[in-house]
Amino acid sequence: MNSFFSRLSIKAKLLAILVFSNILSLSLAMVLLIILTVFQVKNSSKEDMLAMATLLANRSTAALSFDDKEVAQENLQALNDLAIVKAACLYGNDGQLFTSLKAAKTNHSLCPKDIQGLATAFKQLELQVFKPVVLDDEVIGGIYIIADLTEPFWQQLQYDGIILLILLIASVLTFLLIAPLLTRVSRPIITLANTAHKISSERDYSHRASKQNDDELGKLVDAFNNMISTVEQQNRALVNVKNNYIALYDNNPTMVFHLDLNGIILSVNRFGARQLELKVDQLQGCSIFDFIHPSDVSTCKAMFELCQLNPHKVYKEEIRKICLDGRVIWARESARLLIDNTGARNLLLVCEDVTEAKQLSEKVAYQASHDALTGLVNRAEFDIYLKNLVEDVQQSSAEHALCYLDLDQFKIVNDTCGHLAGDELLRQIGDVLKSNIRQHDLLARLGGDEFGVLMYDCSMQQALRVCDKLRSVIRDFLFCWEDRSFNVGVSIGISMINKTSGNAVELLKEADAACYAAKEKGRNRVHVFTPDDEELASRQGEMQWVERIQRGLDENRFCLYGQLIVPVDGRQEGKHFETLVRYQDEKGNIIPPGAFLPAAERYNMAAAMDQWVISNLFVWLAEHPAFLNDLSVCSVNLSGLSLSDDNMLAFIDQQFSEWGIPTQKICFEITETAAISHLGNARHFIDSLRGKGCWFSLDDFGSGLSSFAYLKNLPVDYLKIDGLFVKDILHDEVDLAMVESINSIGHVMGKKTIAEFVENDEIMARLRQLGVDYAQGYGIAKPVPLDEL
Amino acid sequence: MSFFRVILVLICFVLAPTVAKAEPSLENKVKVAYLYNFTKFISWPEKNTETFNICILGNNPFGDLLTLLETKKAGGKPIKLYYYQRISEVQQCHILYLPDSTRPVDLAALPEVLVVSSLKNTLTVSSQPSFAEQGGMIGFVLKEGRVKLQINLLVLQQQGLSISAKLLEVAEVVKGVNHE
Repeated sequence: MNSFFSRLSIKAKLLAILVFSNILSLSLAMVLLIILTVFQVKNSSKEDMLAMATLLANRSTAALSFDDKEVAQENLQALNDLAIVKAACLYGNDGQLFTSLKAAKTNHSLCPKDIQGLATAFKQLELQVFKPVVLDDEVIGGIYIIADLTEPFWQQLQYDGIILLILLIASVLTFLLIAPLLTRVSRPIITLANTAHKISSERDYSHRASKQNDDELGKLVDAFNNMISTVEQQNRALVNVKNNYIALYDNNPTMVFHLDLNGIILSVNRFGARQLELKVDQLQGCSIFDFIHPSDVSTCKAMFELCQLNPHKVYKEEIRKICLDGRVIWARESARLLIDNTGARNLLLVCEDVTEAKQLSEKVAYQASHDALTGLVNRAEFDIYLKNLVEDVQQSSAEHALCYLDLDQFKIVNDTCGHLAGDELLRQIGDVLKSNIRQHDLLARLGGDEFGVLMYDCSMQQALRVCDKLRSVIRDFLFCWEDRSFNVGVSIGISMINKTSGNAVELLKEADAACYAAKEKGRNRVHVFTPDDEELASRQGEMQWVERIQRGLDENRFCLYGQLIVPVDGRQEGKHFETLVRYQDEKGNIIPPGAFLPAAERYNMAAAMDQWVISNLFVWLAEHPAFLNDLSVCSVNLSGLSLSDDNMLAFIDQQFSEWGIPTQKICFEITETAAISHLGNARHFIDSLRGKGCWFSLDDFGSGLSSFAYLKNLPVDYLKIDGLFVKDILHDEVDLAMVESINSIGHVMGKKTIAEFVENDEIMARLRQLGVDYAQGYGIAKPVPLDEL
Repeated sequence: MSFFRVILVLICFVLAPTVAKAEPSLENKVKVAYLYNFTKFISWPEKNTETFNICILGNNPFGDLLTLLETKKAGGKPIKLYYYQRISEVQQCHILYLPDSTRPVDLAALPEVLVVSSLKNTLTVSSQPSFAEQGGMIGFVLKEGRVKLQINLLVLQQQGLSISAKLLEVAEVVKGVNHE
């Protein structure tokens, strides 16, 4: 019932209240009327009957006193006019019925026989009235009247019914008049309710309720409208703030992920989604690990677990992310645990794209570890690899090879064509080398024209084979620069890395030394370092040579050797030799110049050495007048630096005059490369000394192959054909043709030709065929101390 | 006793056809009661007496029944009974009962008698036949065995007595013969 009522509309409720109140008031009125009626009918009847009884009692005193029943009867007859009276009884002094009045309807008397127990009382609808008859304070009898109230009750009820009917009609009329008023009350409420419903369903706060009157409902509508406008303002403000925050969130240049503990993406900002080349809703529900580089997944998971263990701590990692298009980006990730109001635990992951910084640092690291020119690993990085390998090898029985490569004719290219050409050559050589070693072997540029190769898991035989291949490949490699082309050679030293080998520095020294040994043996060779190789063991790196050269100069540790040069056709001439220099170490070991001359040249000591050689040679010649007398010509090497040394000419003049050496017995050998790179100085130098009678010889001719053009401008007397061509003259037709052409050009230009590296008689014979003038080499005579010449 | 027996016999003779069952004592009882009842329906002018005097003239027909009355009051005064043999002796009576067994009252002389001062303001009652018609005030008559009253209103009013209408209802009002 109550809920039925509460479901009713306001209008229906008002109607129900009105109807109910009317019904209630009508019912109440009816009940009250009936009660009142009963009460009133009873009371008035009682009063009437009592009055009647009193009257009759008074009237009957005489009749009773004088026993006159007729009179008494007459008196009672008066009651006959009253319809309600059923019976009237008069009792005498003795208490017995004196006389009675019979009601018309009933035949028998209703009167009790005697007066005993009679009293005024109501018996249902029957009224019994008893009144004693008193005369002079003396009761002389009683009168008893029985009245039936049914009729008056019924009449009164009919009267009540009419009243109620009138009330009902009045109520209905009132209701009909009031019902429209109810609408006036309920309509504003209904309008207000509809407006409120519209606002809440459309979420449009611009609607307003219309005010219809100025009562409380009007106030309510005003208050409602005020409230809605406040809500609208606040809503707008909130929406603005929200949009701002969303814009900040979405455009924040970091990826912001909201994850559950399993890494499922709950939400992500737009920037983050854009970074991964996806839409926000596509990312939702995906696992974050789908976008993490497989090798970083475990790192990321570990970080998440740490976050769960320490809710207040922020953990950071640098992790690679993979975008939809496969692009890898580096992200600096900060993660922490989020615990919301409900206690749910999630993760907040903020990722900053650090790809550029990472690439930069990688580039820096790459640059730090690589050679800018060739792109190969640099010396420092190579050292690290080597050191690691040396450490590793201690725990295993593996064997690796360390190769030290030094280009033989690089200087010529660098000096004749400039550094650009030298750089290009190095680049190309790097490529050639790289394509001829195994993929996992490490190739590095160790500096200048030196390269290093780490061959992993490689026996000595394999290393030798590979190095020999490298050597021949480079030998066959033709470097072209502008309109010229060059051949270069390479000397390779190998040092094996195994359990017995020393540390990285020692290994590098060993390989270096082996490389020098190879160079010393005539370049374009491969030499393997062996610990018991005393000759090699005594060799040290270039840096050590700086100090040793200085000491050698001061302490005269250098000694002069000579290698004979003989005419090819067997003519007898005076002694002709090339002066060579050797270093005698503390133990008396003689060390060839290949070990220290590059160092001398590189560290600007070549001129000093040349001066030492000249002065000592001249002293020796002056001390051996017979030898000098027998001497045809003696050649002395001059470095390129000496040519440009301003003091050198004066020094040589001074030496000539001091020791009285005839100038026509001295020939200065300058390398083709040195001459060309200091062409102006060289010409002046050559002209100056030739003007005094000295001879000049162009050393190592052909190795640079730039020579023919410059040859015209270099007024030399001898051409020394590079031994590299000579030694293979028997097997290599190109070399043969080269030697032949150099020889013929030299002859055409009026120069004598000298072939180097003549190692046997077959070569000698062939040279003879070619018409070369002189020959020099192991096959003719090895270098010996001057005294032994 | 013999006298009572005679009266009783007489009454029986007289009343025999109608009041067969009526006993003389019951009749007297009723009359005594009526005598007392008259004091309630009739008012007397104020008399200078201390008692309400009921006088019996001649023989007392009621015997001891009357003594009952002396225990009662009338008009605020105690009732006192007086017995007289002669009318000339009668003094200061409120009610005077005239005997019925004596010879009939001299009707011609009676009005004169009645106007004597001694009878002034006195209610005269008697069982003599036609007592009221002959100048008495209230006469007891037997009708259908019942004691009925005859009242001469004129006489009553002449004597200064007032009578209640109620009493008139139950009585038969008669007129005096001589006073028409």
